[in-house]
Amino acid sequence: MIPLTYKEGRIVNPEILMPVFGEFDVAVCGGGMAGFGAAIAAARMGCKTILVERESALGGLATVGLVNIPLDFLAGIGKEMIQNLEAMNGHWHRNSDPEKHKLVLDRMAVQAGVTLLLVSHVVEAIVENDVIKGVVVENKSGRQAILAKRVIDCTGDADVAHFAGCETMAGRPSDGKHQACSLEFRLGGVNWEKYAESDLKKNDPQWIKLIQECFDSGELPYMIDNHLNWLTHVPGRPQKSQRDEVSICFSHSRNCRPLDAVDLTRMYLEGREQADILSKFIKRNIPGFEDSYLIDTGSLLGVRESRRVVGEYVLKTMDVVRANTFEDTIAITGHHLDLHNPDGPGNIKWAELEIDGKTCYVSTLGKVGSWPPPTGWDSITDGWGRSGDQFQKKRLPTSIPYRSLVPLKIDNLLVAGRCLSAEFMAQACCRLILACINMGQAAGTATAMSLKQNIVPRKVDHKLLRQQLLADGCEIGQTFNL
Amino acid sequence: MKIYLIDHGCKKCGSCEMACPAQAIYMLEDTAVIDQKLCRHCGICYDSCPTEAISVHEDNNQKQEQEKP
Ligand SMILES: Cc1cc2nc3c(=O)[nH]c(=O)nc-3n(C[C@H](O)[C@H](O)[C@H](O)COP(=O)(O)OP(=O)(O)OC[C@H]3O[C@@H](n4cnc5c(N)ncnc54)[C@H](O)[C@@H]3O)c2cc1C
Ligand code: SF4
Ligand code: SF4
Repeated sequence: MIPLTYKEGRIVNPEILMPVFGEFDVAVCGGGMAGFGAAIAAARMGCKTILVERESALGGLATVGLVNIPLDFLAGIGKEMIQNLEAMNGHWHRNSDPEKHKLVLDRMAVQAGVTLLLVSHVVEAIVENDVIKGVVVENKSGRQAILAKRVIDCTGDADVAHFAGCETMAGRPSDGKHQACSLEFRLGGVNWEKYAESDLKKNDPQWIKLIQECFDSGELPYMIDNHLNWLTHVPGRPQKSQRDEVSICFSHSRNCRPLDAVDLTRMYLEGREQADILSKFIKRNIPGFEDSYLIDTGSLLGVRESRRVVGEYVLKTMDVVRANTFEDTIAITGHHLDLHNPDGPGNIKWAELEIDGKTCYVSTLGKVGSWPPPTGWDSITDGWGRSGDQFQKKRLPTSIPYRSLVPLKIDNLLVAGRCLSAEFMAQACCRLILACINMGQAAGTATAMSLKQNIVPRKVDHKLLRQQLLADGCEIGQTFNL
Repeated sequence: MKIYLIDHGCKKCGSCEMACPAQAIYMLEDTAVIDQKLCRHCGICYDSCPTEAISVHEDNNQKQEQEKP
């Protein structure tokens, strides 16, 4: 109970005494893919580790958000996770069963000795002299402190870094707009064989022509998106009995403010309306979906990008397009520049960069994506400003340096996952599920090493860290001789 | 021996390209393709494609050719 006291038009939150929930070596905040990787890695190296998650399950977007499409390099803890999923018929073709996935994450975390605290929101950071000492959580039991020698921020939104007073970035530098958000949904009662063999899947796999036709005829009330982003075939369902299940990335909210609860509410409502419109459109128009029905929408909105920390190194879009390597690479990603249009349909797969004093529109793949640059498709260049016949597709993966996980100013804090220290367009390339686990594993490993050696994480020896990651089966570019 | 072809609606996600140990897959503007000369027929791309765009075919002719010393 607090009294209703105003000061400068705001309500005063009086001084309170918080119980300490516990003292840990490592507190990992956010139990998405990055947080999972970080907690497992730290616990396996002997740290007393707690993983705090506000939802009721681990996995974040990949499970609760129904993004059941774990792409990027299979290595380390991520590879083990996929193998465990496969053993229970919960993975094929890089498609996973979100429910089995949750269970695998629970079991692996418990087995590694991680203390799990679900349904708990991290609401504050405890900081003394620029050193993080713990976090404050709020849950059914009230407001409590968790003290920790090291904290890893895997909230996707860099919440902890923000609370701790670290410098952060958000959205596109030109206008502050964020990538479009999507609420995923699942359909059941699908005849997968019929769809897989259909002319539509072979000739218009992203339904681009179909969507345009249905928009022109008025069947689709507005351009929710101009293409199907992806449709996954959920494993482990009765096969060849026309009872297949799919998960679909199609809905899009634009002009999103993913750090604002009012706008998040708007997007959940909009996403559910879109799932209603789209599931009916699919039932009417897609071969094999005649008897399909909507199972559910994600309980976590698909936020692709929100707040990113400013770290010792900010991964540059130029690093992505030129496949630059670092002496402290801790993970790699094979993804391309993949921006879901912040304020209109479709996606943008090029970035505006200055090369040799010239403005270039750079792509790693060529003339792809929904929209051409302002000067037309022919002006697309590669990372060295070459266009036309000279254009060279990027073949090597993008390297992510350890310094992109180390925030400036505050010590004993690391970040991992989609809130890493990267430029807006560079982040659009570093956010795939397995890349997030791999970053998490690196952050957890570095944290454990810093504890053992009694040094701050930013002082961890890059070479020793990379050696440890290699020993743990991680992919840090060795396969590509980077 | 099995032949792998990308012919069921590729969405250019690049997953197969990342997974192929022979670096036999490359991107065209509208689809990924497998360079059959470089392909080692391991099937990793088939498992790595999230949209089941890759199909498998038995190729007996090729097998005979390959078996020649
Ligand atoms: C619509 C969509 C489609 C995508 N498609 C693909 C794809 O095809 N393939 C692919 O590989 N990747 C895809 N991605 C990207 C990928 O899913 C995410 O980038 C990745 O899962 C992010 O992992 P993360 O752990 O960094 O963040 P998240 O998954 O966002 O995890 C953050 C976790 O922290 C928790 N949390 C947040 N704040 C707090 C707090 N204050 N206190 C406590 N807990 C908190 C959240 O509940 C969540 O569980 C897609 C993403 C979206 C949104
Ligand atoms: S079958 Fe193996 S070698 Fe051939 S393209 Fe696929 S992954 Fe590459
Ligand atoms: S994995 Fe499948 S969809 Fe992705 S690029 Fe390869 S063939 Fe195309």
